[in-house]
Amino acid sequence: MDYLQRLSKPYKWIMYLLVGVPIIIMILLSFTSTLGVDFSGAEFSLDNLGRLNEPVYTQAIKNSLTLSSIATIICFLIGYPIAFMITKIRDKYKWLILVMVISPMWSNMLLRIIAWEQLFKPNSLLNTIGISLDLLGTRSAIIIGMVSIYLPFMIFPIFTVLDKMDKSLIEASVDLGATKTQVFTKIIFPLSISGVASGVMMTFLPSATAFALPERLGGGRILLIGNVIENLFKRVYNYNLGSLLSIVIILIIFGAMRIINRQEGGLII
Amino acid sequence: MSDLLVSLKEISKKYGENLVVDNISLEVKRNQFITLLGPSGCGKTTILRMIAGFEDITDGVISFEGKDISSIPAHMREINTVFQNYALFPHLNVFENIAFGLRLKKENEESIKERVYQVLNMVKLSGYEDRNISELSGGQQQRVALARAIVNRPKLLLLDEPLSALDLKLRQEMQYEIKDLQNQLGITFIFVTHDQEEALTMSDQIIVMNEGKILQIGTPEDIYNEPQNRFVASFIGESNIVKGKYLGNYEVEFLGAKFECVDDYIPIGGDTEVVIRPEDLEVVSPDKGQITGIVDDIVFKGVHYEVCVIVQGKELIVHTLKSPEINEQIGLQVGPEEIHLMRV
Amino acid sequence: MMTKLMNILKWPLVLVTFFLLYFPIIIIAILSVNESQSAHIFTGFTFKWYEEIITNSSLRTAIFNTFLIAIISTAISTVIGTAVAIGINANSKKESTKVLMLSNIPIVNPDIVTGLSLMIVFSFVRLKFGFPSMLIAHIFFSVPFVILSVLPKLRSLDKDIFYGAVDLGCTPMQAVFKVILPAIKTGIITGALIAFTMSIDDFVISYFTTGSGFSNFSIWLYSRLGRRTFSPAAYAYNTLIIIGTFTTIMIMNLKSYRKERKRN
Repeated sequence: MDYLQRLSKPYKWIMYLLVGVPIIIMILLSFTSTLGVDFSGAEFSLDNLGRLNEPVYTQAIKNSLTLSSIATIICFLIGYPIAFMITKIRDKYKWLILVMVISPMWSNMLLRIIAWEQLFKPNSLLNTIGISLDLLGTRSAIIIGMVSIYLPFMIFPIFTVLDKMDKSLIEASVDLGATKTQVFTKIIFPLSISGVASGVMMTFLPSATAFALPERLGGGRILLIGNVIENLFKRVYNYNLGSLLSIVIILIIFGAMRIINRQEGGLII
Repeated sequence: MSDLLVSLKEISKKYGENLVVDNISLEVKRNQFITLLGPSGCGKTTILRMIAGFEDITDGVISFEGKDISSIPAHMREINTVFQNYALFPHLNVFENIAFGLRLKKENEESIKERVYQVLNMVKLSGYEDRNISELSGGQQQRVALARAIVNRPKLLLLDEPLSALDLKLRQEMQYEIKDLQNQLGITFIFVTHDQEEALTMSDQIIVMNEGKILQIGTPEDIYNEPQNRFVASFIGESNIVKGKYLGNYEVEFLGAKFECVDDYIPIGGDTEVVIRPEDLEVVSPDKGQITGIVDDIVFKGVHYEVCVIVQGKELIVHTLKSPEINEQIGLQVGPEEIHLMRV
Repeated sequence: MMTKLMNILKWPLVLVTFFLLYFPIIIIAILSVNESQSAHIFTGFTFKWYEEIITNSSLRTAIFNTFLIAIISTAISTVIGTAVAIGINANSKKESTKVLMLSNIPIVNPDIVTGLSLMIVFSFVRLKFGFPSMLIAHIFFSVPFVILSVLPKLRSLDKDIFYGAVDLGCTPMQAVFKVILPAIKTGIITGALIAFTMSIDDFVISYFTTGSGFSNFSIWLYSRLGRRTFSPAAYAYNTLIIIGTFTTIMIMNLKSYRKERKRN
């Protein structure tokens, strides 16, 4: 009914504004030199484009892409089997296990990062059991941190898809002669792709753009794109270059999403 | 108080470019059981919803008790609806579902209780008032939907394919119950269905529709025995339709033979479409038949055999208690009253 | 062959997962009762950090702010999200896909992009940075989650329920409140819970949209990392939250478990 349809219209326009306006402003900022967001006295300039090529920035982008990819792959290799195993658990205990997978997410992410930070120092609580790690400032530290934080995000979408899968499809394939391995590779895995895509997205995107995690675990030596942008906006107040880099990220994300979307032909979520 | 309850004058409904209801006019009297019958998409439900007030009218006027109600919103019309999927409120039990409309009118508690129990009795659900909707079977939900509508004593009850979700036996049972209910209550029911058997069983008047237009209005007997066009003839019951020529003097020629008939409104020498119901064709020996043919197929249907006979290259369906063999040559007879001529 | 491989890997995978997920939490719990303030030596058992949650004024304020923002933003975003979901459900496919895609953007965008975008918009319109800006930011990213929780529930409803209510005499608004909202109750509650969780723990977006010294817990934490102003009371607070949430969930599930048993 008319009345009900009207309920979503204002939201639509507000969202167009809140999503569109920043992008326009960022594009403007990228190609000008201004004082923060103050456009008075702004001049058109392509300087920032040139600065994109500086090693700091290219290295940061590289770091983000490689480290996040590795972390995402590890999350997948661990998360998929775990999600699969959870579907096999009896209903009574299933929710308990699910709660246990979720609970770490209630714990503040920063604190968990700090906990890892302390453990990666040579002097840590681990000394009491005779272990001394010197991983702070290494790529491994960042990857371990990423996996620790984002693993649940990989497990959940995959679990949801696997759990909802029509059991009769598996029965049908067995009836037609498939071995256990074939059932998995030909039926289960292909049908779970949408969950995998969601999981990959929810792991890769946040980890690639994180800044607190690499800042603490990278010891200031390894910079990811998030660090660089945060620095530009919050400390150096260079909104122009910061905006340009942000737009680069947005484009990369768009590209990644289109690739993933094309694989499964539809809207994720 | 005039006999006329609802009148639709030149009603049309468009969805974008799509004309769903095409210039419909009809009148509905009090205390009648009217059925809108037609295939899916013919516009019957749309008309119902326009009467109820859920859809806007693109063109035309709907009058209720003589007054134009086009601008009156749905919640203020003295009309109630029984929906196809029942639309029962899942968070309320049976009693509260039925009492919903009464509570909105702020009736007092005593009166509400009395009327709800009364109507529960009418739909044969006494004792179910505390049940949760989810615990009810399809048939029971259907009755609650009915009860919820009639407890408000509407002047008109609209029913949108309410029996389509029920299995055959239950549906047939409910057909009688609903017809009964209408007699008891004495209010007009406008019933929408695509099931012609349902329409024939329950209605005082049937309105046959297709593609947004009305094709024929009449009593069940009228519609069945004297369909006015090919669509109605083939939609209602099964029929054999063959081309023929009216020869005048109550004689019609078809399938290579001459037959006596009782219709004489076709111009002499004019073409006509002849309708014969399968049960009106009698299987006889070839020499006794008005026409003869070869049996192509025979299926046992319980009540009768359905025999497919090829006559002069045309396929005829015959319902008979006899069971001829396939490829057997048989004769067919049909009485003059059972031959119905349609204008072309 | 595959099953053999799976069987061998089963327990190691579980252990690794458990380790990765819970090790930090266990460490935090241990540090919350550590006599020493340093994180690399355990000098003794104490509950003093738990006391300090209340006595440390900056921490107390930060925690208060966190909950204040969470509660208000959850309330507002639940109302907005439910209304928008009802609107989406009532609209044509074309229109609703448009709105849905828009509402998915805050979810899909990385925190840093959302935070920056909002910061830029707020600067541009010269909104006061602090409580108002953080509140709006939280509402902004919470509404989509409410929509995503409520919409499936709406879709599972009989399409005619609204018309049923109107047919019986409700004005459209009455129909929404008396019939639609009660029927989607669980979706609304789930949405509210998700919104609350996202808000309590948010860091990046809050970081970019705050000002005038208004801090929530995450910001309080971040500004004190590696400094002397840091206090292990943070570990204590976090451990309390985990225990509290875990217990609440267990109790609620036991309750519904008992309800199920009673019915059978």
